[in-house]
Amino acid sequence: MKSSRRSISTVALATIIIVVVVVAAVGGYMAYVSTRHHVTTTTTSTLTTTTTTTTSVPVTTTITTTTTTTTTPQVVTLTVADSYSSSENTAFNASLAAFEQEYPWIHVEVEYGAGVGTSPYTSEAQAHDAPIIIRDSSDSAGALFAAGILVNLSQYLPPSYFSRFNPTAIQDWTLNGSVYGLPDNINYIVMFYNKKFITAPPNTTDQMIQMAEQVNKSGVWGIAYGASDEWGYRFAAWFAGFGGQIFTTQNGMIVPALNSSAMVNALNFWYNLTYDLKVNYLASSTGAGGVEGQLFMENKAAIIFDGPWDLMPYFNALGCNLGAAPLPVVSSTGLYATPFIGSMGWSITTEQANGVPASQWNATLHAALLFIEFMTNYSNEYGLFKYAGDIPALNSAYSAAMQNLSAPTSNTTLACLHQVIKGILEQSQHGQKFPNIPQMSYYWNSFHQYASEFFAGEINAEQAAQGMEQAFISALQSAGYLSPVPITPSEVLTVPELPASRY
Amino acid sequence: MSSARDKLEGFIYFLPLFAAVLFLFLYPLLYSTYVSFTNMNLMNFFRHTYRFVGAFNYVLALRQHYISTLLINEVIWTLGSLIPMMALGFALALILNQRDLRGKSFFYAILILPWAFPGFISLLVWQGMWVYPYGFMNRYVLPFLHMPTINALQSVGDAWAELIITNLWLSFPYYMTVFYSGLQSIPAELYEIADVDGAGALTKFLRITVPSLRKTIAFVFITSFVFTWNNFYPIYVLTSGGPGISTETFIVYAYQQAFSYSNYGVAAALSIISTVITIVLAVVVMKFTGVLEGIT
Amino acid sequence: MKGRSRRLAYKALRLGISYLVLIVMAIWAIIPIYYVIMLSFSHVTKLLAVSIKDLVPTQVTLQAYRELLFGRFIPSIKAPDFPLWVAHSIVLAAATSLLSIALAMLAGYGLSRLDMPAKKTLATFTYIITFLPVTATTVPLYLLFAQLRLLNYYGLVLAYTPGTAVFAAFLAKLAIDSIPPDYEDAAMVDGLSRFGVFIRIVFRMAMPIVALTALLGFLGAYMDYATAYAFIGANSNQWTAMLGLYYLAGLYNYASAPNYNIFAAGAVLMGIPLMALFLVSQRMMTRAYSSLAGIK
Repeated sequence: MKSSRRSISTVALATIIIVVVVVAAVGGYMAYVSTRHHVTTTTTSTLTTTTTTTTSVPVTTTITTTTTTTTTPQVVTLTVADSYSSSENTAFNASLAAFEQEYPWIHVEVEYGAGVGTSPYTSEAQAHDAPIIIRDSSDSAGALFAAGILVNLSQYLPPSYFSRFNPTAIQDWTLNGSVYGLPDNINYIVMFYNKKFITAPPNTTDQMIQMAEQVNKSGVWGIAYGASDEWGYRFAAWFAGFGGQIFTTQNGMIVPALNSSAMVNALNFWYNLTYDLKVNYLASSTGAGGVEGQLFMENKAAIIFDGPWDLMPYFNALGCNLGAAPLPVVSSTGLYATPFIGSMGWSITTEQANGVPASQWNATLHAALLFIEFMTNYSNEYGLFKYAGDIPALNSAYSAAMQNLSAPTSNTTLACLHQVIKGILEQSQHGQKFPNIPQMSYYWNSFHQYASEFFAGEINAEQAAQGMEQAFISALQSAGYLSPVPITPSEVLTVPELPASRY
Repeated sequence: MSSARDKLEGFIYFLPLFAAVLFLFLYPLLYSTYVSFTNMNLMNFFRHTYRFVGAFNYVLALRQHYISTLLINEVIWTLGSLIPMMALGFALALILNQRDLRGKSFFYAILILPWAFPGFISLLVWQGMWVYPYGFMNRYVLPFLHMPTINALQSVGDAWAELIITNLWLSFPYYMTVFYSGLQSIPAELYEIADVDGAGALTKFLRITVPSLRKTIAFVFITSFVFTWNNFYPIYVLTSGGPGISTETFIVYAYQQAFSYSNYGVAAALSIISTVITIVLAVVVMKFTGVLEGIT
Repeated sequence: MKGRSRRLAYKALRLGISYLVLIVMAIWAIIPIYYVIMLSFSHVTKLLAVSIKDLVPTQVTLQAYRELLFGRFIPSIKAPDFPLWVAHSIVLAAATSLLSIALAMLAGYGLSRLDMPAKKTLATFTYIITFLPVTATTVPLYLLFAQLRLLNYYGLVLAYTPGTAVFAAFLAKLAIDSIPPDYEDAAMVDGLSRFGVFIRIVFRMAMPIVALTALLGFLGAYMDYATAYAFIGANSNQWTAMLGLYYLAGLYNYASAPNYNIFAAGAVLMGIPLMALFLVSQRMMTRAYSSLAGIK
């Protein structure tokens, strides 16, 4: 009895102590972690202020505040999120090999097949585990930059450096006067068509409908456009074609302008094509890998709206039957359907996001800058054009691409490809700037929810337009973009009444 | 005879589990409640600049009719799934229970496959089968049965049909099994006495079978109600809550708000609402079934 | 005479309808599984290209399996992906099993043998928790773990454990109730500590429950997708098998979806063992319940 009582108390005591220690550790750690963030934000701000004086210094010696002036640079490892397609990767891998040869002290770890968009990077940034270098689209990178996850490149690179790029592309990557990424292509959707069914591309929507009806008779879909899977990226072209715009300015504030007759007409137009004329197939997924693309590549759809990132799969499938042309003019308004002219580019994440220790940050940043400069140089951007048909954002590469396209060639396949690319380039004359303000990230969800309900016949176009606008406004208010002071519930109640939902 | 020491000892053994539950259920829920009163989202999550906004997220959810839509969807989803599932399971159990039926174990083994096969993987397969119009269901099966095709993008009714049919496939074996064992436990003498009294099949069914199984049916219904209410995967994989939000339930919508749109404040608010509802339902189950007595 | 033939006619009708229903149901139950198995042995590369011919096994090929097992879908990973994903899942599931066993057995012993203060409230509280599925707490846990830097495997194990452990703790309690306390009393008289008794005697005698807990914990962790995606979905080199399958089905990123028959092969390779494990766990559970039914 005695011995068991002693052993009971030691076990009990030990367990109690362990539990108390664990609880204290967890609580203390949480407190520590929450304060630590504030500490690091102050250190990054001091770092940026000290380097403002070096902006006029040539690129290779930007970080003069580092203490390491040794001749052999510190070995640095860069983690890169590569979102290139497989044909683009042919160019990228060649550039990567050249980079590693020129800078043997920089080790590069590439994650292929990385996604585009904000969510993967924010969760990684949360865990201080984001890759050091990412390749993203200008708008979602804009959201990341506004969220404090990306490095402000204007602090390290002179304005003259940016003028080497297409001005629209750099504009895409500028927010409040700061550049947050270097573009490696410009992109937008175009109208791809199958020459087997359509001999000459339509110039107006009326012509497009006529051709689609013709094609439909032979059992092939005239158009494959998954408007209900849309998040508003491609639909924006049609919205603009009917005279609409996403944002307007009111009293100096940027507000959404989705609720307009342009939206109603654009929605009804596509509804008409899908359900009344039945020339459009409402695909459940977009792009070359989705249902739309698969139909197109199997000669089961004549027209598809997609971008040059999918050029190679389509060309491989259709060969010289592939054609590309700008989106048609909307017959009822006489306006071109103008797609977003966006841009993909390389950015660097902040040390808070990628968790690189402060002692190594300067060297890492230096290496990262070298990397993104290298990947947006003439040879990589021209390579992307050569292997994947991407439109270069660097002026010198763009001119070389134009020259290449105009040069005569005896290779018929190449000639066909050049035709297609020329068609793609024509679209660049009729495009709209891709808004990269943080407000833009709330557009997608608002559009998608009401557009998909509309295409399912649950609400009519007026309700859809009102609904999306309302959802957009609410999201902006909730994020603090539409009101400088915290919202009190009474303010919400003064917002106009929502249209009756189906309940 | 339990001394204070014995009581403490018992508590220590229970402590690790209790601590786990506290830290991994209660504390996150409390933290989540806190977040639901802030405007935490992508922009300010990282910089810790989110602000306390009171009940804004909840008011927003009410104002935008999210809560009412989600509640109605939940009811459609739970009742719409449970009623066919239980009816089908019961019918199959009755069929299998016939004494003069041959090949029972063969049929039972095949019929139990949908439930035994991992649900998530089945859903991935079903998702491919429902693609309109080239998936297997819309291309071959439905035309073969002379039934209209189902396009979940085109109509909300179709989307629900797709969800309920798939959910039925996934779960009917469970109900079949439960009701079958329930039927097996009804003593045969009851039926024999009824036969002697000259009762018909329908009378036997209504007077013997149903009353004996009443408790089982009720228990199964209530527990399955709670399970289906929180059933995440079918809706997430098949329709993602679409078109729009017409097939969204609380749990799917909260997940999407958090991980697709980074609206953490809104996601937290919806999670809390859903959790509260589940807890209320759980308490109802507990009181109703008295299951806790057997445990403590 | 008429009555007899009438009864025979009834019987024939009843059995005829029964068999018909059973056969139709069996076909419906088995179609998706048959479909995915046939696809895994076929040459079909795109979902849209699946035709009815592919369901007839004229040309059986193992190409999909070979590509699945040796293929590299995500080029930055230096090894074949699928085995890596499975390895990750197994590690995760095994860790969850172990932790669940520890928590559940300790708690079950405490509940059974030793007198605890406020036993009923604690038990009620933890029982309510079991009604919340893992996905219900995904958002709160994510928000909390993001602050604690637990968005990794450790966090996943912690997220999975309580669900299984709580349920298993009650089963353990019931099982330990049925073990006569004489062995332990004798051992303690001989000088063994309470904890020693627990490990040496009770744990061994309650092995069936231990095995059941291990299996439930393993399955619960293995088959989860939602929490794994939320925590580690962004790092493709940390993916579990379920995340990999979602990717193979083309739902993660359409543009980089591999061939559809590779997905089918993955579904079959994962589905069949998991199905077997699930059936085993169900059998163990019924056995556990029936052996405990005598106690009440």
